[in-house]
Amino acid sequence: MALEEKDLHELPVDETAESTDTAEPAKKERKPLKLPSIKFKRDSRRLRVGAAATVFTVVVIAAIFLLNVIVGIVEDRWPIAIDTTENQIYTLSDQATAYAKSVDKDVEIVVCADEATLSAPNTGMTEFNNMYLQLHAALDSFRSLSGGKISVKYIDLNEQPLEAATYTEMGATAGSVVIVCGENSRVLSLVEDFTNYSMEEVYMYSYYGQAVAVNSTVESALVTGINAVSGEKLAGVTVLTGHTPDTNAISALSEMLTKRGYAVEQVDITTMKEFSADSQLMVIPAPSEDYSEAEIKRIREWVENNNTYGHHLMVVKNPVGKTPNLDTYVQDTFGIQITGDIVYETNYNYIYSGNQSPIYSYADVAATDYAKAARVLAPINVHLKTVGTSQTITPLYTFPDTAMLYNLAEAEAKNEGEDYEPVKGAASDYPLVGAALSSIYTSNGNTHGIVLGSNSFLQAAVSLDENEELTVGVINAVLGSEDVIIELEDKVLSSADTLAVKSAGTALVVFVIFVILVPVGTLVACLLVFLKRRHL
Amino acid sequence: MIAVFKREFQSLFTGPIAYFVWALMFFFAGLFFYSYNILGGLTTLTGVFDILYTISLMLVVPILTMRAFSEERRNRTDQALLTAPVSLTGIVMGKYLAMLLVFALGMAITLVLTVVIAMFGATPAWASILGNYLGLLLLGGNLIAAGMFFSTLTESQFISALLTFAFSFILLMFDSFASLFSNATWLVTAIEFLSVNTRYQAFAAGTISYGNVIYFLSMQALFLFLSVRVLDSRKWQ
Repeated sequence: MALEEKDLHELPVDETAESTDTAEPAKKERKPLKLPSIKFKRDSRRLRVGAAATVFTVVVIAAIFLLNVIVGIVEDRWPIAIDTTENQIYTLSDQATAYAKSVDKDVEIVVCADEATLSAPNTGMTEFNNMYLQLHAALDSFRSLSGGKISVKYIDLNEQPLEAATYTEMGATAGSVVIVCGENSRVLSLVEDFTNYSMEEVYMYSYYGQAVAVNSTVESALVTGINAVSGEKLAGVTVLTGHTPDTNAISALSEMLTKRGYAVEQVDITTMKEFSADSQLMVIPAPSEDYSEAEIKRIREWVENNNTYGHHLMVVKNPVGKTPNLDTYVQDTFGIQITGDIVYETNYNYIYSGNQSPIYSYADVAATDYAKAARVLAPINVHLKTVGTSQTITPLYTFPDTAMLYNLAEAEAKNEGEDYEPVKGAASDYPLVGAALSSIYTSNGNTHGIVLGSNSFLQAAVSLDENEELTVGVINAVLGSEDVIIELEDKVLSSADTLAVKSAGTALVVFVIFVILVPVGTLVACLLVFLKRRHL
Repeated sequence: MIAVFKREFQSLFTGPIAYFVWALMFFFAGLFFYSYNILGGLTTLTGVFDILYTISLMLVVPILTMRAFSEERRNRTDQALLTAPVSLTGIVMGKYLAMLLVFALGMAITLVLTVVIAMFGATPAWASILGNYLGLLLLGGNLIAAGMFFSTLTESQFISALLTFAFSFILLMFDSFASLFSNATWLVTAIEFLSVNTRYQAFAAGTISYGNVIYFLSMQALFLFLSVRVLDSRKWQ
């Protein structure tokens, strides 16, 4: 900073300096010493500049903070993002988008967890973190696309017990997703209903070194749930327990139907409880013991429904169950004979590779209105014969000409099957029928009977899409629900594909290159540069 | 700015820093690639990006940025720099871009590993990998800008690295603080808003949202601005 003359005050007088003036010097007056005000001026300016800089800094920090707050608010309103996943899991499918826009009733979706559980998940498994993020994105999309008809809220059951009370009465627990419309409600589970495998199952598979394809069912679970509470009510399904049924088959079937919006009740036929008035399909799930005449009569009366029909029956056969009364009823009413033979496959291509047993085989499904052509797994399948003439009977799946028949009773009689050989069926029996749909048309109404010759078929449906699609397709067609139920495709979260490293040698080469050579090479390059600079 | 960028980029390679940083990144990326992909059979680079995320926070950026301005101050070459015919913003941006480029090139190993995955017959999810790369680059840019700011505060490279490391550590643990203050909803919201981890995980999961991009860019701008302010204040001293 240059000194300005006007800033200078009088400088101190040097009394030791000689005077050069020849005339008689005048008496020097002592004036008080005054310090220059340069420092004060400089400090003042510095203070001003510093204060301005500080203010400017604070303003910029505040502006950046405000920018982010505004962007956050805008993003809540318009959550636009680029979905870089291979299967577009964060982008709502066209079907789900169209459905969300079509919702015309007020639907409330309550997630019984805080929002961070979905928006910043930490499950420890990438697939499930992605599923939670997908669910969070889907809920936002449903809310914005529905024009306010669908509302979403997050309630921590522990932190907000009063608010949560309404939903806990509906059966919600921590981690539930409750969908409510008026008086109707549906409770889904975060850990079970939004993926095809639960976390525990995936962990177990990975523990044994088996990769599984984890699919997200977020869209179908949400659409089915909203549809179930706000849309047309689906027919009820009654599953008869009692007489030692196959509980795995019950569990598999109930899961398939419940996630599509059906109300499934279980009634113990032996205690003669009433069936639900909404029920239109009765399921007899592979009992090991026979039904009594009185119970058969009760079932008959329910099916006939005072001659108005409209009630349908599904019988799942237990290959080792002894049920003559039930078998006779099925044959007399629906024209399907349940034989004592098991299908025995001789064609290697039809035998299930996971078991390698000839009685664990695949069957063919022909394309129909309710099922596409496919191959299903039908283990230990009882051979069915279509003998009725007054019914319309359609095979659901059949076994090829290479299949033979193995009679269990005869095999037991001959030293536990060791000396018993399977036999070829009659020419008219081929293709061998493993499951069939029988339809009775009357002037008063129609009724359908589904006969499945294998209880293991339903268990296999848990992991085989084709089995599930056939089961659900037939039931939807029988109950007339095809147009009501909305089926959405699952999205793959993680595929079961693995990297095929051909040999240990290849793995070693990769290790040497990327773990040793490349990093060490980089350090060697550093050393070379250093040495070169030393010699310059 | 371009002259400063070129000078800084060159100096990173005439010294050991860039090589050491790259060696670190290549080593850990290679190790986790071998472990997760070759031995584990995974077809995605999730494990590699996870480790690059951690070591970027804890090791790479503190080492990369520790000498940005600290060394200049210690060697008294900062005076020449500050009086050069380049604006302070140009100086800061030039250094920042040089370090960012070194970081980006180090991360390019992930693209090489993706090609290796393709050579084994798997179909790499390129969009997802590029999304991860972008997220890590934005996060790295954040940390480099912060590291440069800390470097302007001290003439000790060690202290600069330590400050950057501490800052990165706090960022890494930030989400854990939310659970400590679960009763104070406003604080939890603020923590979640500021959480770098949450925003980065969105990129890793496969979404690129404009909110997260703006957040990272604005944080970089903030630290670069603060660096300029510190240098400017030194002019007046």
